[in-house]
Amino acid sequence: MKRYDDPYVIGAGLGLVLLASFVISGRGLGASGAFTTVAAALVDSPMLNKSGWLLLEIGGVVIGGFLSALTAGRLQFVRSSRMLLSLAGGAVMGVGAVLARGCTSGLALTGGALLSAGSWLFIIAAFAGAYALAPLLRRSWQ
Amino acid sequence: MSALFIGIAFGWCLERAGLGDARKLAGQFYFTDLTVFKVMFSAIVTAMLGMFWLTRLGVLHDVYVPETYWLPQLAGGLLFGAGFVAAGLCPGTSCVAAASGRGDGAMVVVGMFAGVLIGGVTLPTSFYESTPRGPLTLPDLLRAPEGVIVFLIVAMALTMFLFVERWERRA
Amino acid sequence: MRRILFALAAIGGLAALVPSTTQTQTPSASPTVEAAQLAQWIRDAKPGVRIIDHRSKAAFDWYHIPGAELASANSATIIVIADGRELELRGGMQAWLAMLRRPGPLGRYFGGPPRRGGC
Repeated sequence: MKRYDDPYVIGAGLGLVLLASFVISGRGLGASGAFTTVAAALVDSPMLNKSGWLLLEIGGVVIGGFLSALTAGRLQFVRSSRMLLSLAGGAVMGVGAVLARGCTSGLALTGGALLSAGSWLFIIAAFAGAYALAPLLRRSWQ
Repeated sequence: MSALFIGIAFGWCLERAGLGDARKLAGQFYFTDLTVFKVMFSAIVTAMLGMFWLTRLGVLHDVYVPETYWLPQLAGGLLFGAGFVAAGLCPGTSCVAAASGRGDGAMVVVGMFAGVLIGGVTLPTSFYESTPRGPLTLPDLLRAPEGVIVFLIVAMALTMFLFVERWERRA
Repeated sequence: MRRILFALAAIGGLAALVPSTTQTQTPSASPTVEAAQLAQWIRDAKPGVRIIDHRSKAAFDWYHIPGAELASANSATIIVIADGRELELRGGMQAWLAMLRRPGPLGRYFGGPPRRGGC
């Protein structure tokens, strides 16, 4: 099993991927938008953004994640150990992402790089929310 | 389509960073593993510098800035952060985790769908549409030249990186 | 490797402080028109409306407001001439793009924004 890459170097790589996205596709990265696109097929809501581009992109994310794990020897089938918290956390993030019009990929990374005021507010708020709740969940992470 | 290849590169980078592991991600919020901070801000700084210079050199034009909605994004951010520390994964990394075979990832994906559906249906539109500011940027907001903001963010990030590295070496 | 990246970032950040010699952002002291208002005029084919785009040719070729004329002046300003008056499009192209994205008939009339960022 390979060691993880240097976070700064891989972070810079991620930044380059984001840049490439702009140069090639004229738009930035995203993730929650793919979820809202699928949800929009089920319910009619003006708050659910639709993007076919993001559906393809998230498909790529799955493939890329799989390939990386495979080549690093990190492909492992592990059952969920914190099922309820994973589900609940995911749900709360889902609501938050709809409200904020994005998630860490679309707002923090893309919006942050573009100096969007709302995106920077989202970054600060997200870190604040996480650090605020962390003490209460400490047990669950052990 | 290029979206697929960009996504593959995205997913690859996330997994290489170790962000497909919920426990590793959660470490950020217990100060045991600051990978999230390092990766996120390295990416932001790199992309920000790239966008700034490519636009200044005329290679990129009229890049569309996401719109700002003060209240919904503040509330959405807080909620998102809370959910993030509970799940240990965000939308993008949950897909990577699931792709690596981690059950946590799959659960977060399912939860996210539920959350997005619930949000889309139950959130009051008046709150959702409140406090819009359009494509507001930090240079606009702070009435400072874009170059100054870029410099300040780079300076802040590099300072924090150095601080974090020193702090980690002591521990 | 990481030191090289830090150094590059530092250089890129410092160099950003040097003010841009090309793009000039003139503060609008002249009367302005909102993007939505301009969109209405275009949609209703208001007679005598001219849109003068002062951005670079490259930017113009990438995307311009339907019916705009190019008058490159390396500025970010877009001037609208209507009813014999000279108005500046408030917020420039950014505001136009933001308007296209907003849900509603106006955005849809123009086929939405040319490209999207974020989310």
